[in-house]
Amino acid sequence: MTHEDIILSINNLAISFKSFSGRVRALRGVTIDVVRGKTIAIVGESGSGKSVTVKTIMRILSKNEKIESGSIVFNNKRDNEIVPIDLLKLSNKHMQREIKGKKIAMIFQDPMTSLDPTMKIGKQILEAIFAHKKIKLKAAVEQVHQLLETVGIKNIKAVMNAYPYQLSGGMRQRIVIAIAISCEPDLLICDEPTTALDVTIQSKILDLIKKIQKARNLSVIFITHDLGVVSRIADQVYVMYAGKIVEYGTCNDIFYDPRHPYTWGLLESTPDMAYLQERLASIPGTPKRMIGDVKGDQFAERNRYALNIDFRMEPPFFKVNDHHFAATWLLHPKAPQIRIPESLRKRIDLMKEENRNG
Amino acid sequence: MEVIHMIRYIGKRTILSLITLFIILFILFLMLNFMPGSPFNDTKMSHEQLKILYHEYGLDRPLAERFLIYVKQMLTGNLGVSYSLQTNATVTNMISHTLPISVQIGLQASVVGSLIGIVLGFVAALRKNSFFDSMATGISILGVSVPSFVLALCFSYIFSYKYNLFPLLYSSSEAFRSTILPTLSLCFFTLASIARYSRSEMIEVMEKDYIRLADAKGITRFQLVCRHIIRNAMIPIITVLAPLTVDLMAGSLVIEKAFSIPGMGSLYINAIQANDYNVVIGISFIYSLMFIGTMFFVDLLYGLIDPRIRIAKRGK
Amino acid sequence: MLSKVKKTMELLLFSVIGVSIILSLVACSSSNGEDKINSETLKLQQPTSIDSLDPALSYDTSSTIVVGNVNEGLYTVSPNNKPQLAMAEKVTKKDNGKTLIYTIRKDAKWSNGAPVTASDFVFAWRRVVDPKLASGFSFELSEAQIKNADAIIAGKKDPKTLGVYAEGEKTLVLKLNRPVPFMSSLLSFASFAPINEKFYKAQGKKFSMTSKNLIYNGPYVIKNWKNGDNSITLAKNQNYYNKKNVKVKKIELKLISDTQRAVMAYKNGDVDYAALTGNLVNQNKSSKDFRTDIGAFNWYLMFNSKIKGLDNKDLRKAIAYSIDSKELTQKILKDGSVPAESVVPKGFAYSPTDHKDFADQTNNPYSYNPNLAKKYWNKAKKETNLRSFTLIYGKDEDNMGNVAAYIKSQIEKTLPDLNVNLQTMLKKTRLAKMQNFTYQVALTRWAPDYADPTAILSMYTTNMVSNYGAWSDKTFDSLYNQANTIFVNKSEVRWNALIKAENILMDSATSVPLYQTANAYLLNSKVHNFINHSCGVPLFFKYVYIK
Ligand SMILES: Nc1ncnc2c1ncn2[C@@H]1O[C@H](COP(=O)(O)OP(=O)(O)OP(=O)(O)O)[C@@H](O)[C@H]1O
Ligand SMILES: [Mg+2]
Repeated sequence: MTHEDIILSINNLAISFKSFSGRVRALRGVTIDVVRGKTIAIVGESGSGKSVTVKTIMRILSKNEKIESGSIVFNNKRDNEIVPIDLLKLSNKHMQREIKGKKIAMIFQDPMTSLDPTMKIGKQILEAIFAHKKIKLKAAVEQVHQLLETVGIKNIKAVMNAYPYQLSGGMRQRIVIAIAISCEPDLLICDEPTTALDVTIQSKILDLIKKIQKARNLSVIFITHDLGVVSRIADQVYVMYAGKIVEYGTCNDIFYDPRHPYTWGLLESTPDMAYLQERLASIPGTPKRMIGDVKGDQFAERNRYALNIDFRMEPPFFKVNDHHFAATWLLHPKAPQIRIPESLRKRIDLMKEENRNG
Repeated sequence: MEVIHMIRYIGKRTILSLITLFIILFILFLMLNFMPGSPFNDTKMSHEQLKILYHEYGLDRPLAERFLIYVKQMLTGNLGVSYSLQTNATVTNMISHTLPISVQIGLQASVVGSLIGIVLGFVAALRKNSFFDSMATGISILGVSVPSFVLALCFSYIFSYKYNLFPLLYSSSEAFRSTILPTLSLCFFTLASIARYSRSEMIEVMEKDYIRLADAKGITRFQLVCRHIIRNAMIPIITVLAPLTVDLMAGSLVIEKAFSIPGMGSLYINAIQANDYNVVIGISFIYSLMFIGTMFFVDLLYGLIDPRIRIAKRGK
Repeated sequence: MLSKVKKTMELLLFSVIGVSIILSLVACSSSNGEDKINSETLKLQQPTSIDSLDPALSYDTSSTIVVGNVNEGLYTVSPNNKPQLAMAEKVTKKDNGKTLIYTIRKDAKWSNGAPVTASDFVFAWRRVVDPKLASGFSFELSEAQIKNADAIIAGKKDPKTLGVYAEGEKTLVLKLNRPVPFMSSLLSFASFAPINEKFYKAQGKKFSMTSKNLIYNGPYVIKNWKNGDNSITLAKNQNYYNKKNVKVKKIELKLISDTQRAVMAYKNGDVDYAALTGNLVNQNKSSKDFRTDIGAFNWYLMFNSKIKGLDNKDLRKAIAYSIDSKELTQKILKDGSVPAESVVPKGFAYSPTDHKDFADQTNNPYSYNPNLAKKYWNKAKKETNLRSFTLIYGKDEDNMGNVAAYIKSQIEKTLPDLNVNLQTMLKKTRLAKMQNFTYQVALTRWAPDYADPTAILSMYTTNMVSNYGAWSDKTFDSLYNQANTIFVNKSEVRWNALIKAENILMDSATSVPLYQTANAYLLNSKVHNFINHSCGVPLFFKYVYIK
């Protein structure tokens, strides 16, 4: 992987929130690289820090939020030249004028609340276009038409004149996507864009995002709980737990050769057609909030396979192969040989089988 | 299409308002009927005399009949005469003498109060937790907790008694200048509650997803505030502002008393205390009319701002 | 959590500081009372607005003042409180005083130049008794014993039958049922003023609604006024027969109902007179402009003797002895009020022989005496089993809450086993309850309408409408009747009969007088001959001068 291939790299990002009970350490050194034209997925339980990570890219910060350390470098392509920009050091104005909407766009979780209820749909899309393009109204309207067509909306005139509450959730998410791609951004961030939708619409929206990604060679950061979705869309997967990336690799790495006990847990708790009859395993306990100074592996308490050292020291990343890394002491040469749980083993074999046959 | 719906809607609202008015009138009639004492200055009158008096003013007739007579008269613009406050003066005259000044001061107070209040609230929200924010909050707390008569006293002590900048009391020869202090004393409560309300509304709106999305489009902060935040925050503010305004326009007894303003607020309270039926009913009627009218106006205004309501109406 | 508390504390501190700054600004009393007064204009504060300027319908004090100064009847009142002829220049009595013949002054004119005639009086008085107008002053014509007045008021006779006739342009004849000893005092009241019939008819329903719809024969006329205004200006009447003795050219009455504001306006020089109430009396006591006059009425406890137990004389006496009026006026009220020692208030009825105050000549037995109170209570306990009663009072009446609480504590402290329940209500409710006898004990007041003890004593006669105690005593009734009949022309005998009557009232503790109000006010020291009258027209401006 050469330097040019990476569009965004988050380096050792640490973020904390001031709260009544103390400092909540939401991110504790997150490092993620997004390859140009590829889709990465960030998965993890609720509260693991996925949204905080991507919101920081967009510089959507809460009042009580503090960036402790780290950088987010965006490799901006201008006239075939690549200019790295640290987004965290950019002025608000510059961020607003040059990056948001124009280079990086974002789609939020809940389409029901993502659109301004008092503004017509057409106007909301036009607003996005005019934010970065100096063109005539007529040309802009023409673009809106195209965008709506792209996101698969049929009665374009009516939709443009409608207000958000007149549209269904799926339609609204299409509008949000249209807004996101209106200025041809290089990077699209999707924070659980389908969670709030019902299953059939979910998959349509997913297909749409995939299609657009292909057609426009977009880089995508995709956040989800749903590993099923990940396998459909992602090239690379980052598993996040308690404000840290615990394992990352290609889709194959994570699905067929998971190494971190947390990833095992996640995979085990994923409903799967073939195994639906069986009891759905879940990770015991709940993620804990990290307040004040923390010590050791945060997952240790919930980890069946925890070693003594887990309670004392955070594990570093161990390399599995060139593109697969996991932060668990189990990969240490001196660690006891603990194998992947049997039930998961069987499941993975079955999946491999299916894939080979299918 | 839209116009026809609009007309139909207005027609429907008007009829509904009329029915409401009638019900209010009837309830008032009933209530006044059970009020103790007579409307006359009767401490020194004999029972016979009172009987003649009641007959003379038609008060000895059954309630329903009186109500019908009243309504019939009312439709011709006759609201009856005062029994004791300004004996035999027509209520229409009394109201037309007192209403304009009350409405003027009320409107002034409402405009000043809500404008300053909204600006204060919005700026405080935009600079949440800053010094300005604490100051605005302080002002709101003061405004809500200090009663208007104390303010009136403070203002007139400082501005008219000590420095002679404004008249101490209302005088028709200095009509506008003498409404300034009453306006200021009266607007404070509105100012404070609107400031508090707009601040929290605005903060709430700023946290909304659609504001995040609009912001993510890369528009300027100014555009964000003007196009999205203010517009959405205004809707609930108008809802609370409207009744506040009507309240102010109906005249404040306290302020009118403090500045000797010949307004409708004190007339109303005096009429209630004196059992001056026609005056009470007349003013209540005007008050209800103003209230219903304003709510109606607000509804239309609402439709302009909030499409959900506008379209819902069209749908029906 | 902590930061929230801190923030709240900060805000609290902020507001406290803010409020105290404002209050300290207000509190630092600096009077910038420049003397704006000139000898031509007098500006007075009035606490209430004008209800009507129709002489037959003007009940409110401010209205009475205006009506009494822009109209003049047969009599007016001198600065030393004695009635004197005004529109009439001469009176002759006939028929043992049952016929009075008044000669109207030749130079008496209306403000439009028309002469004031006898028929103007006839017209005005017939109006007052006309049941269709229902004037609250109609009782005054019955008090004056004018023939047929009662029957007309009750709707049984035509107003034209009223015993008052014009004989020619300037002679007015009054026919009375019987002579009235205090006739001249009665006739000085504003409701006996004449009305120009022609002018009245021309105004129709608009009569008295604005200054243009009024006609004047008194020392002053009204300028540019309409009903509902917050100030009224009187100017010297150029057609007044005695205009050369009217010194102040302009009188402005300003409605300022907030007394605190009135004091500010006084100190500012916006008004030359401001009435004081409540705390303000004490606060301004040391001012050189502070004045106090005895007020018009007594506050007293009225017992409904239709209630069993309350008809017991000993019980009422026990209550009378257990209340310390001195403490009540000096520690609770502190507004210049004085303890009332008799049913008839002080300062308005004087003996015809030696001009002594009626109130000083009667027995005043009930000064505070807990031992006597207990003695009567022990006696009463054997005669009645009433152990508690409800005292009603108006919450919209000045200070009554405190007075009622004081009375309750005094009675319960002094008289063991006697419970007083307090019930507060609007004044009009209190009056209604009293009129219907649906009360037990009430805290009430009454002002005399004319300068004679009968103005108060009449209320205790059997079958009187305003006998709210439903109390009845044969000796009292007969004394009262004698005073109005066989003793009518024997002033000294009559006076003594009335004293006896009052003593009966006091002895049976029919009502318990508590205190007499005072009028405290600030008056510019350059204003002279400014005299409050406790009954009738409160103020006559024609005597006032500024120097
Ligand atoms: N404004 C805030 N104040 C305090 N803590 C916050 C704030 N925002 C987020 N956090 C904390 O940061 C942590 C990460 O939150 P984040 O929203 O990124 O989770 P997530 O992985 O997106 O979860 P989900 O799947 O539910 O969206 C959580 O523990 C949360 O409590
Ligand atoms: Mg999230």
